[in-house]
Amino acid sequence: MITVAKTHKMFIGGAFVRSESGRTFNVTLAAKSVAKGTPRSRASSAPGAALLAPRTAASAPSATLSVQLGRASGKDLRNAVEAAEKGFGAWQKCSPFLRSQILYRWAEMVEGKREEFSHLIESAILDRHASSSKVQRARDVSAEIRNEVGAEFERGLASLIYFAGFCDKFGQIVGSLNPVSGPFHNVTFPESVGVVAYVGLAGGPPGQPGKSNRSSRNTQATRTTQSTRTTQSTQTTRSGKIHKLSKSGEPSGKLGGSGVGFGELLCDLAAILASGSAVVALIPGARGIFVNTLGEALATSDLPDGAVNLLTGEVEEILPTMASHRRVQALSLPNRGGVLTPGSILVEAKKSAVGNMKRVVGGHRGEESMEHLMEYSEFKTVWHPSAI
Amino acid sequence: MGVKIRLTNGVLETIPHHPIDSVGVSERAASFTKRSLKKGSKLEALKTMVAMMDLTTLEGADTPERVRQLCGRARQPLPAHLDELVGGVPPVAAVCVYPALVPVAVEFLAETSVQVASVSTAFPSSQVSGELKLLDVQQAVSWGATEIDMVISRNAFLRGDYQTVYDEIVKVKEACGTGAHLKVILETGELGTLDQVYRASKLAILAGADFIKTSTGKVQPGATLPVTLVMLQSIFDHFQQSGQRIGMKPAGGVRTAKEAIAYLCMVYEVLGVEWLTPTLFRFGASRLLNDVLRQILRQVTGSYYNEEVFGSE
Amino acid sequence: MNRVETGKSTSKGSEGPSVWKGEFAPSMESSSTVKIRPRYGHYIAGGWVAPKAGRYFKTLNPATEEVLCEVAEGSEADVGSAVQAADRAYKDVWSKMSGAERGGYLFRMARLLQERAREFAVLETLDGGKPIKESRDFDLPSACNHLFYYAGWADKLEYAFGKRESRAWGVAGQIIPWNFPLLMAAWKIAPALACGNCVVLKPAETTPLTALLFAEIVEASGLPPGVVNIVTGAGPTGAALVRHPGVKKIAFTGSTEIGKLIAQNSAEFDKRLTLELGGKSAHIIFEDAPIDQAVEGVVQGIFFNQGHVCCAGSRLFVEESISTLFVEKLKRRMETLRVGPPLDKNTDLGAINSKEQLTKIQGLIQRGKEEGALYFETSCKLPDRGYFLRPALFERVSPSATIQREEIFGPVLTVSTFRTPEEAIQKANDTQYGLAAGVWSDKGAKLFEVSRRLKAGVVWANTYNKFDPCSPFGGYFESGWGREGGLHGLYPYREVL
Repeated sequence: MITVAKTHKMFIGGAFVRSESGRTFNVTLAAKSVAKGTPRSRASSAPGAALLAPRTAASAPSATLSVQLGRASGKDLRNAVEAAEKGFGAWQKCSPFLRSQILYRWAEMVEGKREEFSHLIESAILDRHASSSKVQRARDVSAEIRNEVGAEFERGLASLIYFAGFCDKFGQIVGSLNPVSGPFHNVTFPESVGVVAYVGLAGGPPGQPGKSNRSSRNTQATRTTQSTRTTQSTQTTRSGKIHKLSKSGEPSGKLGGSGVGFGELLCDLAAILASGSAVVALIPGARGIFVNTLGEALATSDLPDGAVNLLTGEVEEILPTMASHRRVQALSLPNRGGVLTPGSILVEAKKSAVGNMKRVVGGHRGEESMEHLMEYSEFKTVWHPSAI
Repeated sequence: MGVKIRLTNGVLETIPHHPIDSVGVSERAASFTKRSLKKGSKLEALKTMVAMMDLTTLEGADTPERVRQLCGRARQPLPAHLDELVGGVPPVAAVCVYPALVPVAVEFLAETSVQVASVSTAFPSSQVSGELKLLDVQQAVSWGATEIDMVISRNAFLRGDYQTVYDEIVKVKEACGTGAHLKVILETGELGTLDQVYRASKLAILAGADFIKTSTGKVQPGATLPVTLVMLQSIFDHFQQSGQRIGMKPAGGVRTAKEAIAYLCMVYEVLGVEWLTPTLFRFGASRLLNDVLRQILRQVTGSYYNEEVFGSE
Repeated sequence: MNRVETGKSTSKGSEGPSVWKGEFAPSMESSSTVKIRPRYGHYIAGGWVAPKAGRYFKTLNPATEEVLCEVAEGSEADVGSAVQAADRAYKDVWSKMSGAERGGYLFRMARLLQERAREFAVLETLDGGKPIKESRDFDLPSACNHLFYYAGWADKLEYAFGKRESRAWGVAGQIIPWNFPLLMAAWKIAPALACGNCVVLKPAETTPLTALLFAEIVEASGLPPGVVNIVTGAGPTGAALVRHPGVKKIAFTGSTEIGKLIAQNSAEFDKRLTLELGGKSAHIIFEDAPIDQAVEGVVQGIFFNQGHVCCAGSRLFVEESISTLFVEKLKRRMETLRVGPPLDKNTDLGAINSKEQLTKIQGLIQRGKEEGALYFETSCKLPDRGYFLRPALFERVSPSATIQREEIFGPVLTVSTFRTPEEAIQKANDTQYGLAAGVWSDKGAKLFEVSRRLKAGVVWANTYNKFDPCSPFGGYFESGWGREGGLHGLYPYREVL
């Protein structure tokens, strides 16, 4: 029985679409050749896995996943922003409590796709291991990978539930009745920032596997700087800007872990939604493999169309358009510590964002915290006389 | 803010500000959707709805033949064998058409109890001269319309010229004479707030409306339960003050029997049993009839019928 | 006096007056999905246990006076077992669990209750007498929402207490009333569990069944045994729970009379108390109010749930200049209220909860008449058995009249007038209670200022009887201590260190 391979599409306005440009790029995640009874053979028989190369010599890496992802164009981004505006309107019409329920429903749907997501996560992890120069014994790899996959998935799921429970609460924590001097009733409350453009990590260096979110909120997890074969194999070699994005500086690693980025992605999307905002997210490079399945979970969550839009493709191409788009109110960039390199793509984006004074955020990515949610909020204060 | 109107008898009348809370209105309106009509009560209500219907066609593409078929429907909503099955369905209250089609309707509804209602005053926009609006009415009346559905000038209303709105209605009422009753369409979807709807209702009633009607059906939103509730309340307040009963017609937006039941319950509870008659309450509808007929058949036979057997026009 | 004369004659059929005259055939909700056992024990440590003293008492359907089943009478020993189970569960399991996990159980309970909402609504109506329309559309959704809401707080407590460390009390004893049985159970259990406590719940003696059915939800959610325990019984059972030394925290909703007793009896112990007690809430209507909506608000305020509401707007204060008009509209609206079998979907007012309560209300009505107030009740037909009352109001009520000072807890409204805002405020605050108040006006500044001056824990402006899991609820003075709902609803359930 021949398997029916999934066609990976982007998720815009509640629909699954190809890039209007028709372009695609290939993501092939390779695994180290391992002995029988290990994750690889499990993976290759799991549903949804598209087998590419037949098993050949033991020393050559075999493919566990090979897909074509859409390469988003500026027009796709434009369409996505339009969809996000509509989605924002509809998302705002939902009460905070209803948003809680919908996010929880999304968690239910994600849980229902545990097997599929685990397979994708596993492929990414295996690929990372394959590119790592460390030699590991087969038996160790198998158990370790299983744990990593589980931890990464659980991390993402837990974030959804965390933020689901925040929609109708943070307003009480940060809102206030202000005791002004004078006969006035004066209240402050948070409002959603609007349409958020989000740039995912292209594929980061691996952090410490199995680290929980909770402790990572208080400590800075350090990431080992390693070359990222994953990145290099999926993105065109340009002038090195891409490398700078992922390699230099220290991403805060708030969500320590496999660097697969699944958990962090769910966390970040959930925080944006919980604030009441809508999002256009670029999930670049190899991480784009999560997009279609994530879209499916979103599409069955009662989330209004356009509240979340997921694009795949290249940061280089899409970020400039995102940064200059006047209908985007906030721009979430991968968190970077330290001084940025002048002329780098991130610096250019920040400058461009100044055009309509976008809120440039990202310092709390991967965090289960109110501070993360609040990056996507604005405060409004209302006065009214109080007198007979 | 109160509104001052010079009445036809020269008296300067003030329509006081009447605050309305829209959240409270929505809540009360929603409560009527929870009323549950079953069995005999339901069948009675459904047949009542048919008797209260103004079967409407207001399209640029209307032709005499189209109207003739609609009139056939109006006189006999169900084909004979189905009509017998359900113990008889009354004819509708009226057929509502553009002035040019009035002669056709009059011809095909002669010797029946179905009234001929004509829209007028440059329906739906009313954006022509006062003289032209009046001529429109006069022609419709002369051709035999027994009901005139006019539109208020939203142009005048929204710029605050309530006197003009009043004067126009008075003139139209005069032109109706004794042969036709006057429904005044407020076009609630353009008025902006429920306070404005109440104000427009009072103004229309003051000027001589026999019926106040929500919408032309050409603008969304048309009739809704909250808007209708406010208009019914204005009718009740007028009755309290004067003893006069004014009619009400929600139009454009009542599509299903279920919705229509909520309207009937609302009329009953807000105004009383006296208003449960076509002389005081109408549904302006086209699609509603089929759904009501389907519900009637279901009540009597237990089955859901498809519309193809109704002989729709 | 219809001035429409259409010129056409009728020649075919009967165009005459319509057929429907406003009748509603009975539209009964089926009770077949509800399975009531003939007898219930207590729910302790995740299982059903017979009462140690072997005694049971009956619970009735107040609409039919029929016995529904028997439930266990909780003795001091039963209460002791339950507290022990809660304490064990707290020390061994619950105190060691992360907030996220606690929240996870609450999320599950909320979803499971949503699944069986209709069943619970029917049972609530059978056991307590409230209309199915209310239990279906208000009690059940609100209970589910409350559980769901507090689930989300369990892992976010660090935001609720500033920089302070806090910890759960341990075992919370919770005693709930008969007017919103399941909803009150949710209001108590949800924050307690979210904050890390274990619970012993004592439902009201006339309405134990939905709490007992809730034990099935608890089980289905996989909640560790002993985290939630349910002990049924009457006053003495509650007293035993309050007295028990293993219970650090008591939460009680009920009458001021019993609340005071509890407070007195706890005086020598270091018990934390939250009390949601009675009320005699003022409902103020200014002449610039949206009148028709205000009438509706007053009706909802006193006749919703047959007036069995602690925050019922039971004292109407209407500005004198519009009082005649207002009361006329009010009476007219009251006449459209349908009193009938609670399971009938068209019923607006169901049964009075018990014979005892019925007698109490009737006694107060009699008192009102004797003290010179003018009584009015609607003309609706009442069912021929069961405990039913017609919606009623008193005019010409003096400020010192019994009916003006004492909580009636039934569908009876007192009507008074005022001339100025100051007078309205003064009269509204003239009570030992302070639970809620309503104020209606089209003028914003007046609303804010009057709201500020009214001594009540909840003020509803241009609305009434609105509840939300995130909106704190509770009273001043003799209406009790503490708040339920929202961020503030967490405070009673954690000890700040």
